[in-house]
Amino acid sequence: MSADDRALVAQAQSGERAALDELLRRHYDRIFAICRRIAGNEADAADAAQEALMAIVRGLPKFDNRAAFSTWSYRVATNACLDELRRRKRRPTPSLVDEHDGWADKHTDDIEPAFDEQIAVRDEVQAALNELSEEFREPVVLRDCAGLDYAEIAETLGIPPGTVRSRIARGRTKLAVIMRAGNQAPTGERQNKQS
Amino acid sequence: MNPLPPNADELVSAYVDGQAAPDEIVVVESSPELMERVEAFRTVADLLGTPVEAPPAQKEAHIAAALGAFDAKFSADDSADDSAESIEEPIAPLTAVPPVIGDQEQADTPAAVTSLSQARERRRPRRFNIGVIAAAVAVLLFAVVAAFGFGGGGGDDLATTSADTAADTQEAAADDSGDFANEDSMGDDAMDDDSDSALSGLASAAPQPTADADEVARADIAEDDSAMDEDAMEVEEAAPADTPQLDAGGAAPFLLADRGFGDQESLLEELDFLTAEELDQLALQVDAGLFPGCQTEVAELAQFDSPTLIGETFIDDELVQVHRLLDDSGEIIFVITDVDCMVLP
Repeated sequence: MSADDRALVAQAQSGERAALDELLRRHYDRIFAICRRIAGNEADAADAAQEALMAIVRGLPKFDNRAAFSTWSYRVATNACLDELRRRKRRPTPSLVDEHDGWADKHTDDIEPAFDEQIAVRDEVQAALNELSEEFREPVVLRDCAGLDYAEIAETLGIPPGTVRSRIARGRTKLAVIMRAGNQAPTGERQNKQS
Repeated sequence: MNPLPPNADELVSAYVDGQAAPDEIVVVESSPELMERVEAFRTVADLLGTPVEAPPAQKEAHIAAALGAFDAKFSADDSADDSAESIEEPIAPLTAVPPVIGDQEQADTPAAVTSLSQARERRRPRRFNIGVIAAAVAVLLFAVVAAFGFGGGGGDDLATTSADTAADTQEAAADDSGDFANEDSMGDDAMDDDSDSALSGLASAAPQPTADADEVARADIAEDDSAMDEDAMEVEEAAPADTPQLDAGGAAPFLLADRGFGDQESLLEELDFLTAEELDQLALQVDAGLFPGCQTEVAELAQFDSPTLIGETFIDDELVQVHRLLDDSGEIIFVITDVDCMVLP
């Protein structure tokens, strides 16, 4: 797929619209997933995904294939999300709540009793993710949503691979604690005890 | 039962990711407790890997907007024969896309896309000159004294003036200022032993050297700093209340973080009022790991082991990073786009 990406990138860089179309379609879902997980809600994720695509188009002429297109585009998406989050924090907003997961931006004390059974597992996961600080959320998302390895995540975030490993571990530990506390997801420990 | 290794979670996490070393694999697989954690971590990883589907209409709209920008780029290149330049004017296609979700803030989005070329046109390389800084501060002080009849301070040297100004601004800001150099801003019990906890509280206490000439700006800074502190508390509730916080983007609420400038010239004029020592202080308070990568992306900056970033701000609503380096030729400021790490000319 990477080789295909490389050919499409070359074509897009030479002005072939269809190649860019294919590249964007191929990677949009993952880009959006990254934005969704990092941003924490649909609205900001949509903004960030749009920004990410525009940044990809802007940066494409200078993209030199030193990294895989996927890695580069995920990095762009990550930065677009961070940018969007910064903007969001500078804008007065009446509420950060959207219809699915905005509740996660409120205090965790609100989670359990108000939890609606219709909320899907992905929203529960998002709620837990929203409780992580950015520094832990980003590498976890890039690992588990984008499927990047530690070296790629290190490259994407500009931090050492050892730090990536540490942050992913700590992020997962905290996620497991949050999920277990909220009875949102079974842990291996619970499964084993029940069996 | 053998005690768990101190880095048990890290071993387990690496094991789940297939990134554990052979000896670490042996350790994990020989421990039932660690294998239990493996299952727990796999559950977490699997849940996070659950596909997140974008609304189809949104996907189509976003791709159409990007293609529109692409078309604009290449149609512009046909006439300008400037294919080496990046795309700068994707305005019309983006704004033509209707909102596809119920976001009350959609209307704000295109601005960040439209501003880059305008900002770049106004930018030029700048070097700092201490003499110019001193002269500017002196003129500024004279103007303030003349305009408001404030007494004292006229005979202060530059360093004293800057320090006084910084102190004034800190008083106006939230009460959480102080010596942050040795504080850990995270304060998360579960993560106390974080080896990269250089999340030191950054420079919300950094000098605000131009504020004494602009009372309104000073009030804005103080208000913004307080607002950012509140925001940060929402992000990391477990942190101590009196500890300076990182904002959601990982950036610190330091000098430039919550301010915007109409153009690069204004930003550089603001920086001109900082002494070299103050700029040093800003750089020292920044942890490179907090900022995604631009230092490693820019050749001139990548050669430096220490962080070159001294701040982030907005230029015409475009988030930029401000880097500073010292070489044989003196002090150079780099203004870099945050999204794609491009150095602005």
